Amino acid sequence: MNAPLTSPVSAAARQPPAGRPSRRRGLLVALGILGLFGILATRIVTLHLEHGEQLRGLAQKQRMVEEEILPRPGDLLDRQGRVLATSLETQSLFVAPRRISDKTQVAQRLAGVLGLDARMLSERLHSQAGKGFLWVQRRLSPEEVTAIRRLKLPAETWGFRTEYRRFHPQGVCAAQVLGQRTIDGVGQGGIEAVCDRRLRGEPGRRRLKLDARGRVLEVLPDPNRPVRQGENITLTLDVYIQLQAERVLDEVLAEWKPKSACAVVLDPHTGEVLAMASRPTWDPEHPEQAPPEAWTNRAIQDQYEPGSTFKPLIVAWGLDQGVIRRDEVLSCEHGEYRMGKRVLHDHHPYGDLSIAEILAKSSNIGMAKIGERLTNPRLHAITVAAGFGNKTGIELPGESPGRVWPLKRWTRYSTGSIPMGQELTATPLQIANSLALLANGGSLVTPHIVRPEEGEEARSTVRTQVIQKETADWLRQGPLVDVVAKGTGKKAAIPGYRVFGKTGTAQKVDPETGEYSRQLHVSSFVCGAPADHPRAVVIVSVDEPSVSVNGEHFGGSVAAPAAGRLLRKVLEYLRVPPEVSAGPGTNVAREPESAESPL
Amino acid sequence: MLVRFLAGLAIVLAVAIWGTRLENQNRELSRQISLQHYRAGIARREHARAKLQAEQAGAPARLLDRVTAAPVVGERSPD
Repeated sequence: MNAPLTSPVSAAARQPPAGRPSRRRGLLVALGILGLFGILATRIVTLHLEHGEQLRGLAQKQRMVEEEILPRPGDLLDRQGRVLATSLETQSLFVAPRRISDKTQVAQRLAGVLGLDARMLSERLHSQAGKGFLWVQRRLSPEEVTAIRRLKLPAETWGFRTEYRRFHPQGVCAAQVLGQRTIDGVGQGGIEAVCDRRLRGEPGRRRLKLDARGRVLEVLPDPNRPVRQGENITLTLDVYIQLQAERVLDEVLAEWKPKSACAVVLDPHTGEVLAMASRPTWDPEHPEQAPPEAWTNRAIQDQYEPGSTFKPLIVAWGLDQGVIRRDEVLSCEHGEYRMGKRVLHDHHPYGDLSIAEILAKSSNIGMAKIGERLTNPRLHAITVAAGFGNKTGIELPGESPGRVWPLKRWTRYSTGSIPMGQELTATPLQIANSLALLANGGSLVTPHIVRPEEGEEARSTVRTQVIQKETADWLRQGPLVDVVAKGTGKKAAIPGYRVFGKTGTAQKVDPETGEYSRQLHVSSFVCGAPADHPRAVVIVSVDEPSVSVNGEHFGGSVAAPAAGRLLRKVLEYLRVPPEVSAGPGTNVAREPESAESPL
Repeated sequence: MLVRFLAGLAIVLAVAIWGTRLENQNRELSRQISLQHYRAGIARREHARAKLQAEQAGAPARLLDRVTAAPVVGERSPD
């Protein structure tokens, strides 16, 4: 019981600490580890603060790649939805010359596949040896792409870039109207230039998440820069009618060997251009082969004196202004009429002619007499009101306004010249539009070629009543029908239809003498049908037909047959039934309910 | 105590495994979506190519002569 109050534990506690060295070791180890962590932490902080941005960028580059998404250019469509121009993706080959060690060998291999001159390619690679980018060939075919891949060239020395190439499935069709897209995707000429912004779209961006081997794991579109694909644009053209216009011009070229020619087909009520063709032309698949003069859209860029095609407008205005009557007869002075110092002549000597006969026989003297009654201010007013001297406003580049001198420059000479279509110049489209004015009941309608969106009236279309409806209807169904039935435009007659129209033969100024030439003419014919309710107006204009070919140069001989053929095709296509005569002097147009127009 | 510890560990593990699985699923879906984008691109290209070929084949310039040369249905051939 009196045992000392000692225990083995307390005894051990009193002993010098046997574990001290090991604790110290542990402490040292812990300190060492802490030190290591400290070093690591310091390094991390250093890396983060000093090189953070750079390293972050490097890591991002390895993991994420940003690339541009090319927008697909919009298609050009005709009014029926047929494709006039579309784009397909193609690959273009580039190389990095500074990374190519054996340039001659690479040049030989590539040239063998692409059919290039190996020596020239090698020279290019050597001359641009320091460059990191050099096009070898653009817009390759799928076969060429496969063949290049099979060459297995070092990956860092070459690459493909995606580009779009324009195709024209309808062939040589409205080349000047459509224009083209350059190899760099820029619209040039025609609708391609005018609507370039809409057609082109806007490129977007996307990021690609890559794995360690550079394979794409994920595609992340950039919400801030989404791609905007090019818009499709629908034109008022109809490929079928356009094709007929192109063919008619080819026939005119073959027959008359002119310097140039053009044809336009208009819907007189809406101002829609159904066809617009020019010669010479070019193949849109090979624009590089086009001669410079082939780029001109003759229908809106050529300007010449309208000649007799201007006469119906003056007669209509004279009737509207009350200076002549429908049943009036004017003396045409047997082919010779003095106006001041000037003596006017007709092609044939005529005595008394009615208003209708003046137009049918295209009497210059009869027109000059109407001009005298109207006087210069009223002649000027109708010229400007009918759109001459101003651009029509059609959505095509390079349109010519034509030329109408200001009234203060007009003289007594103008009083005789203007009524027969001299002393002013106009484009074929303006002349066609002036006949469309008489065809639709007297309204001047802005012609247009880009179709507005569904349910949206063409914003640029303006209608202005210029001639009274009764006057326009009488002139169209009477005198202008006579021009084709028994006047200068007989060769444009179409069996079963009452065609109205007017011939025009304008003398050109001889560039050498500066005076009207007896050899150089612009022969034209503008017409429409059916006279009761016109569905189409056609103009064919032929610049400098070769007189030596057929010995004639008049619009009635050169342009009227072609215009008649074209108009006939248009009427058949629009399913306009032939007019049926209901008695002498009258014609009744019957349209069965089932006859739906494809327009 | 041990049981609680093990249970806690199991929960943490389960959450981690579930999270990993979700992550994998997410990545797989992203990959599928990217693949679909790629396929859609190819389909668009092929569609454009086929449309071009169809337009070329049916172009009036190509068919017109043949169509107009053939007799109209019901038209009597000249004897």
